[in-house]
Formats: sequence, C-alpha cells, structure tokens
Amino acid sequence: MLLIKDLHASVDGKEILRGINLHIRRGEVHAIMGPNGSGKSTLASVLAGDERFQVTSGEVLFEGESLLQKKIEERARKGIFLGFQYPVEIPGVSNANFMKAAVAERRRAMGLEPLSASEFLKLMKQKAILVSLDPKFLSRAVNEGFSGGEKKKNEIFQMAMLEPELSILDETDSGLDIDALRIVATGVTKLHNEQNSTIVITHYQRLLDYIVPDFVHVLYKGRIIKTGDKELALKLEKEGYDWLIKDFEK
Amino acid sequence: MLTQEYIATLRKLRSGKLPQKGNQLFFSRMPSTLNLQVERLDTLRKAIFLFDESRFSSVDIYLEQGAAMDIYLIQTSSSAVSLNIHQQQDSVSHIFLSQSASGKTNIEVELLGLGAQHTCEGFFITSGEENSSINLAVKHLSSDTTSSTLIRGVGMDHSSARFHGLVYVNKNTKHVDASQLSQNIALDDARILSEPQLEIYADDVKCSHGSTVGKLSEQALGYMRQRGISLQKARNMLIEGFLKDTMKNYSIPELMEQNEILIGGKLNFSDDVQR
Repeated sequence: MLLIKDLHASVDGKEILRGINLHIRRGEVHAIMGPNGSGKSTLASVLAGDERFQVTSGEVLFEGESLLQKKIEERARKGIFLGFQYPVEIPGVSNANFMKAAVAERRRAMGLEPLSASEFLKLMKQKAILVSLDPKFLSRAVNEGFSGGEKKKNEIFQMAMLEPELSILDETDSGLDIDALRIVATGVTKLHNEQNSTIVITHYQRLLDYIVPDFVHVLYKGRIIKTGDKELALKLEKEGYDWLIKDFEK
Repeated sequence: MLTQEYIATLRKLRSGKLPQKGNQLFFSRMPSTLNLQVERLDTLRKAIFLFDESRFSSVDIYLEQGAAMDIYLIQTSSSAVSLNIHQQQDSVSHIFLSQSASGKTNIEVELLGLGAQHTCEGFFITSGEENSSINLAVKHLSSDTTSSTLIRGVGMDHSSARFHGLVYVNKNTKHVDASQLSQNIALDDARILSEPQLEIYADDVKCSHGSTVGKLSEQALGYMRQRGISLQKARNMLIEGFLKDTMKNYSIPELMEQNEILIGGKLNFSDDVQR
C-alpha cells in the first residue's frame, strides 16, 4: 500500500528526515517510536503533504502511484488520513458541515454517488456511536472548546467518516487520561480491518496494548535504526532508547 | 453576481411574501427620508430596510420610553444610508447590519434617556473593486446606558473597506457600559481600515474596545485540506463561519438564510475572478 524509498525532507533548510525506508502492506499496523525530535511528526506531515516541509530526495508510492507531487487535499481524497497531535479549532464551521464537505470530496474521488441528507445524518450518528463521541458535538464548531479527550475522539470520528486506506495517527495518545486513551484506542481498533493500514506514532507502549502493531520501528535522527515486533515496544518501555542509540552511534 | 435564488428571494421580500407578521415592518424602494416612531412600551416591533437601489436614504427612528425594536439593514447595492436612532428611557434597539456591496452606511445612536440600551451586530463583505464604508457612532448622553457593537468584515480581491466606530460618553453620566469590537479579514489584495475611537468625558464608565485586521488561519486551512477539502472551499467555509457569528441573534431566521445565500454568491463570484 505504501512504499517509502530513501526519503529526505527538511524544514527551513534543516534536514529532519535523512533517508527513511518503509514498506506497509494492506491490513498492517506499524508503530513508529523514538525520542523527541527524531522526526516522527515530520514523517507524518510529509506523508500527508504539509507544504511547510521540502522533500529533497527519495520517493513515496501509495497504491503504486507517486505521492509527492500531489497536493494535501488530493492525498486525503485518495485515502490518506492524518490524525493530528494538536487538532485545530475551526470557529464558525460545525462538525457536521465540515464532515459533509469532506465526505463529499472523498466519495467523489472514489466514484461514489453523493449521500442524501438523511443518509449522511444516519452515517454520522452511526459513526459517532462507534467511536463513543457524544452526538451533541456534531452540531458544535469543529474542536472549539472541546477537551483534549474530545478533540482526539473527534479525530477518530472523522477517520470513521472518511474510511481511509491509510491512517497516520500522530501521538493520538498525548494528553489523554487512561479512560480517554482506552476509548480512543478502542475506536481505532474497531476501524482497523484487512483492507486498511495504520501508522501509529507514539511515545508510550500503553497505546500499543490496545492497537497491537505488526511492526515497531524506532526513528532516531531522521532514520529508522531498528525494526522489530511488539516485543520491541515492551523492551523500549523498560529500557529506554539508550541501548539502541549507543549501538547506532558506534 | 447575485445568485438566481437570491434575486428570487429579494423579489419575494419586496412583494411582501416573506412571512409577514403584524409587528414586522418591511421597507424597500426607500424614500429619501423616513421617520418612524415606536410608541411607549411597544416592544414587539421589527423593521427590515432593504437598500437595493443606488440612492441616498435617511431614516430616523424614535424609540419612546420602554420601547424596543429590532432593526435590520440589508444593503445589496451601492446606496448611501443614514440611520439615526433616538432612544428615550429604558428603550432597547438592536441593529443587524449586512452590507455586501459598495456603499456608505452612517449610523448614529443617541442614548438620550436613563437606562437606554443599544446593540449592533453586523458584517460587511466586499469583492472585486468594491469600496464600502461604515460609520457607527454611539452617544451615551444619559446614565445607566449600555451599548455593545460587533462588526465583522471580509475584504476580497482588490476591494477596500473602512469601519469607523465612535463611542461617546457625555460628562456627568454614570454607570455607562460600552463595548465595541471590529474584527476583519483582508484577503488577496483587499484593504480594510478599522478605526475605533473613544471620547469619554465621564469617570464612572466601563468601556472596552478592540480592533483587528488579519488573515485566515493557515493552520485551519491545512487541517481542512487534510480532510480532502480544496483550499478554495476551505477558505469559503471559514469566511462563512466568521460572518455567520454576527447573525446568531437574528429574530427573523429567513433573513439569516438570505444573508448566507448572499455571502455564498459573493464568494463564488470572487472565486471566478481568481480563476
């Protein structure tokens, strides 16, 4: 589904990603871990098409098509979803209207007929229940005045509405208490199936208790320095990154 | 420039087919001068003024003791409007302003009687080469008077707009509470000049004012695009949301719908110019 080859990217002339190689197949869950400043969020942003970052070399193929020339909204319509670490507040635009516009674009790109108003309402209610989002948030302005947990739930709600092929969840667990974490993680697990793939970027192993990864990658200084299975995340939780970094710096 | 749907509704409005209630007064094809008096303790009146022809009109509204009125000013043509409101004791005025064309609006509110209250909420949106100006002067001439103003503006293309707001508090008045907020978004090569002004000659006054001219949030645009919404559509949704906030207290919902259609028409027109 996603093939990243020797990807280099920089911001304001400073190189952050220094040769990322990654292959994600349909149905897989990949976790990306690593110390602060290792480039995890940059990787997520670059894949989504954030124009603040410049890709200096390398290639990214999504479903066999080159991704890097495509605009951020084109990538989204193809089925790439970024769950934001800090979801943005959009005053004056209701969640329902926001999703109506987004779902319409996604369906058009997929060659599907637009939903009728009642079909759309039904879909929204159904997905809100699926991810445990109180339906009262549907008529409120996007993320405005939402608590940290509600904002993250709203991200997962949007993911449920858009049914992406590839979801990139950037520190979805940050700022969540144990209960909110469980709800959000359970939502993600419900949405995962054989047909889609998920990249989970996280600092903590605890999220991976719910969203069990097929692969765990450690990012350090813009490169993947170690790949393992879920056991690697457990080892990192106990021992930290020092042993890996020492090996790498040698 | 205006959508067919909007033109059709304007016709409806003119012919009085909009839900007419006994207390609702509708004025279009404005005469050059008009005087309205709202009797003592008459609190149910609503007046809609539609300025859709290029001419000058002057309107004076007298609110007697304890009277209240919602006043809708809808300006869709390059007209010049002068609205003067004279308020006696405990009267309440609420202006809803919508200006979507080149034009001049001068509003002066005199809070003459004790405890008179005034609220003004409104927006302007300019596109193409339009040039619009709004002057709003609120004069607190008696004690215990309050006023609150929120004007939001959006400028697009090469248009220019100017908002000038004055809060005047007379000497020897007490317990005056006045606030004035002007928030604006200037897009493309548009220019918006926002000039708030305070003239306060009394001590026992609570007064706040704010004025901003900014751009649309890049963060919000990026977030919306990541959900598959085009930059143009995201921009339009943010502008509509920004302006809609000034309509949340409308007592005639049909007018809110009309304004939304009107804003949509302006945005589409601007999109065509951009392309």
